[in-house]
Amino acid sequence: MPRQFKHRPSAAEFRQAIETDSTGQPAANDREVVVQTLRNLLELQGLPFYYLVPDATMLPPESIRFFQVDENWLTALADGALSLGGTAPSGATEQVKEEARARRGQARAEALKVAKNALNFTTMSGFLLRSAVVVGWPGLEVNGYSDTAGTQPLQRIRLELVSPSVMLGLFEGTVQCVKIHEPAEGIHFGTSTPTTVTTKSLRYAADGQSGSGISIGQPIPNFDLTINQFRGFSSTALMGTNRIVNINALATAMSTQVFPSNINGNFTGAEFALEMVQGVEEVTFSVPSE
Amino acid sequence: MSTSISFQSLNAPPMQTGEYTVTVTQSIDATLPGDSTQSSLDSFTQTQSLQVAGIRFTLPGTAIVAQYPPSGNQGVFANVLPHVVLADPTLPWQNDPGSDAENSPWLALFVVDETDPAPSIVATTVGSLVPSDSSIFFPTLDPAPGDLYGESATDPVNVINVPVALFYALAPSLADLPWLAHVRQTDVTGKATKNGQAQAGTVSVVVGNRFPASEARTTVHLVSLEGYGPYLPNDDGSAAQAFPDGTTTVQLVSLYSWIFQSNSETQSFSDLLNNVTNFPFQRPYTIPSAPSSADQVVLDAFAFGYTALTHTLLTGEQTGSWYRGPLLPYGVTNFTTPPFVTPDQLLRYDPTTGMFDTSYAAAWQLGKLAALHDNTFLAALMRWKRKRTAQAVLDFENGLLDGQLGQSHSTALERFKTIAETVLKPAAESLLAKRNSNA
Repeated sequence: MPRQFKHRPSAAEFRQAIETDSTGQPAANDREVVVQTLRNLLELQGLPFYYLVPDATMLPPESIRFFQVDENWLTALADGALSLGGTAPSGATEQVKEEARARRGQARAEALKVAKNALNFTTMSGFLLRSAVVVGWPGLEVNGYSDTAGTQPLQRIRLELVSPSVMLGLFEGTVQCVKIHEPAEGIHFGTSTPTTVTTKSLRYAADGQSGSGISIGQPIPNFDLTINQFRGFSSTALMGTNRIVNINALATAMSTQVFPSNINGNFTGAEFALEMVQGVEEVTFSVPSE
Repeated sequence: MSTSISFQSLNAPPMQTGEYTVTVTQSIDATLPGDSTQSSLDSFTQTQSLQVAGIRFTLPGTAIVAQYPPSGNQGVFANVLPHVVLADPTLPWQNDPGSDAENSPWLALFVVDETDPAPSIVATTVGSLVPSDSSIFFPTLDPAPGDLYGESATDPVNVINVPVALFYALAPSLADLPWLAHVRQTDVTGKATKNGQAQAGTVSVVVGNRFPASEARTTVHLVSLEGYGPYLPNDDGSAAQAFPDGTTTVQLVSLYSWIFQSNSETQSFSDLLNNVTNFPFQRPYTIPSAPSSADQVVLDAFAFGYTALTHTLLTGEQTGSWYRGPLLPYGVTNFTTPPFVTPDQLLRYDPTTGMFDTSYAAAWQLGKLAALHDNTFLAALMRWKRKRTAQAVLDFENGLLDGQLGQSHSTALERFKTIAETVLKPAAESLLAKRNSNA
């Protein structure tokens, strides 16, 4: 058998290697796959949680912890991922890393089907929230701000439940405060806390005539509806015998009150929902001082 | 950032769940020659039945988005009408309770006190929904349970048996039903993604008609009212159409249920969050009254976000080393200079304590392991690197050639032209001249 020498590849073989993958298909997508995987790593996706929180005492139950992301750590992480598969010109790998860095936040934007603003950031920061709130209010909403007053919103890179009770938030730039509020769809139907009488403040269900300054959703001033539409209501049983609301009667009572004067509206289940909702609660956290 | 929410009173699908029959009749009429009157020759009729499959007895696990008050929670809920949020915005209107109430939802919430008492859930199958005992009432469904496409007599279903008096007390009237369900549309860009997926923006909501008792446990059942239309009570809770003689209990399909506790102890959203501790992201420590120099080293390390972990060295020895993740209590500048060839290049040694900082070495190793785990990435990376290397070699060779030729070229063709002009042509000409002179 003739001895096989390692031959020098011809120009045609080089071109083959450049333009196709191992199955002979055009390999234009390879760079994209590399960049996307790196981007996910740089968004801290799929990393074991104990690499992020090495000691359980750092994130006890019912706690929020603000952090800033160490880009050196991410550089080392990306370098480790790129170390496989032989050598490559370092200029090319650095380029890929920079592109992956700049594209952080894209996965979330794609999942939400929203356009991602051009990210121009050098630092990432965020928070970890471990609380019964994360379990009990699955759709809770979080906004991050770059000032403690909460006026300069930051773009979210990632906001994800990493476990049923732990939420991870990543923002571009340096977060100074976050506002956490109850999910809008979790807005509940309710009334004032019942004392001697149960009341409900109402909102306008339609815009007023032009110039009246009345718009839909605005509270009706100086008016509370007394709720006595219960099955079995009496002067001794303020919430009826069983606290069961005669919904139809309540809706009828509301429908006569909620439209601005000279506006004829159609009172449906949607208007009823608008009247019955109680506002959502919001809590602000600021980065603790050192 | 303000979030907006909009309400719709209903979102009815074009066709409800159930069985439909389409009948097509074509009749042929003609005027025959010599006869001025039109006569009917023939007619053809074709009947086709079709079913719109849907949910009737069991909800898929993903159907429920949320419920309020949250399941298992305690709090002041005595002034709250419980509700459940459904992922499918048309689900409450995919069926109806009967009695020509087509735009009435077929789903309702039964809010049951512990003193009522709360009926227990009985697991049965779709095939045994129609009770053999005449004292238990279950309405006649069309199609019968198990006959709809996708249903099987062995499908599991949960039912509750409610005494007739309790049913009349709790059940909403036909007029109540349209008020008790609506559609909400919200902006989801402020919400967490779950497994990389966005949460639903349009959902349907079913609301209960009863305030929970305070200082008591409340059970809420999402029940199907399909077929119950004529038997629902009047607005004031009085009986409308009587159940058949001898009926003592009513059997309702419970699609979902949850329990919460209403009390005076406050555990609302803001109360829970106000009890959340907010400290720098580091290991907690107490400063000793007279810290030794060793104490001080540890305290400093903790303040920088480090924690000490067991570290097995290459030689097999074990030692304690510092580690910190990418999440730090303060910002650091970029100071590392990639690329790194091995993780040991990233080990940082502190000669004053004799301890390693393994943070970046661990990150490098983790990156490598993550890449090894991902075959798609690995294959793409190898091909991409090979391509880059091949390109670099080509560029280098072309650079050498261009250097020899004394000018740079943007394409291989131009380079070949120059070679042909400046190298091949003179060589050929000199060869020709040589041959001619020899001849």
